[in-house]
Amino acid sequence: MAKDLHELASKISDAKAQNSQAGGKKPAASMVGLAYRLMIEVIAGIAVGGFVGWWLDKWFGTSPVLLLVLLFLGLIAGVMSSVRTAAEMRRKLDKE
Amino acid sequence: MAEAGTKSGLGFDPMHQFEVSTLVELPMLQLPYFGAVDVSFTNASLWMVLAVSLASLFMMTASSRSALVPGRLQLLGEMSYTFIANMIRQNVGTEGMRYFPFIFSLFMFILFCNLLGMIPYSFTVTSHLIVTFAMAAFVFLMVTFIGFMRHGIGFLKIFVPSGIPLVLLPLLVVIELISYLTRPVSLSVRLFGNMMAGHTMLKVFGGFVVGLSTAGLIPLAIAPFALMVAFTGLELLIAALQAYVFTILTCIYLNDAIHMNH
Repeated sequence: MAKDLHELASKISDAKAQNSQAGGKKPAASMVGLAYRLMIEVIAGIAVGGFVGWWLDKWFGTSPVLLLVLLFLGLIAGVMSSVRTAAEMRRKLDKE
Repeated sequence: MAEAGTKSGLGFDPMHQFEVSTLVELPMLQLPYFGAVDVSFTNASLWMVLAVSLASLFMMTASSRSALVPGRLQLLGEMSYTFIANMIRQNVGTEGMRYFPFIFSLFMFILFCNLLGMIPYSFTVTSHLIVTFAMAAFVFLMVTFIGFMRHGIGFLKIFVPSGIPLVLLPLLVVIELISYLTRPVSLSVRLFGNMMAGHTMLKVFGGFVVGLSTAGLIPLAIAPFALMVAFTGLELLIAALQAYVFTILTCIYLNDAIHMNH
């Protein structure tokens, strides 16, 4: 009985080790997905900045000053949030 | 299938699958701000209704006969419950479980829309930007509302980064505000882009196979056919993965609103 249990325990730990090995290798497709995520964030930043700038310009009649300023700020915001996401991803990868 | 669409040089139109066509004509609805709105029942509406009914049917049959030793269906239902429940506990904490019904419905709806889109001749609802943007905008507004409900006006502090010299503060607040506003855009574009790109690619390769075989070049059609089989598997993975990504980002945004840690 005790021997059987030991055998089962070693079998389970073997299976677990194999599982973690298989899970540790990320497929290339999911890495491309991560890269797309970062790219979309930068583009979304520029798009939102541009839209808000265009809208505020229409509001205040200052075309195209605010559009240009907010387009630039949108780029910064996009890069910042994508850097934040990248840091988050790295923390997650390190944890695994 | 391509008869109705504009034919390209290949003899088929890979974008035809995204066309919205009216199934049941309904009278125009007069709204105060938007004017006359066409609310006809389209193929998009049909597949949304199908996704909702199939998801409900799945969960109801899975939970109808709660056996101690679960069958396959019950196991699937319980797995999807634990999957989302764990996701919320890990990303938001236990107080996030109040929003479990919403997040679970959101996940099941997107998952079923994506998976139903994989059936040939079906319509992929999530490959339309307006659909994903409506969902993302709803999530964004709800999360912002929850933030203001919980913290009152103090919720605005998430736009003020700590440890920044006073001179730079106005600039950074504007940047943080823009970065907050990009959330619904990136959330919706990600789901829409993945679904649309994948389905277009499948149609293009399918067109190659059909075109080459009808031209009598069947040996040449083997390579695109093999690629298509592989891509179909990949698309199934992406369908599930994108539903997961949408849901987990909703959880992360909810966590920001509840705990205000940036």
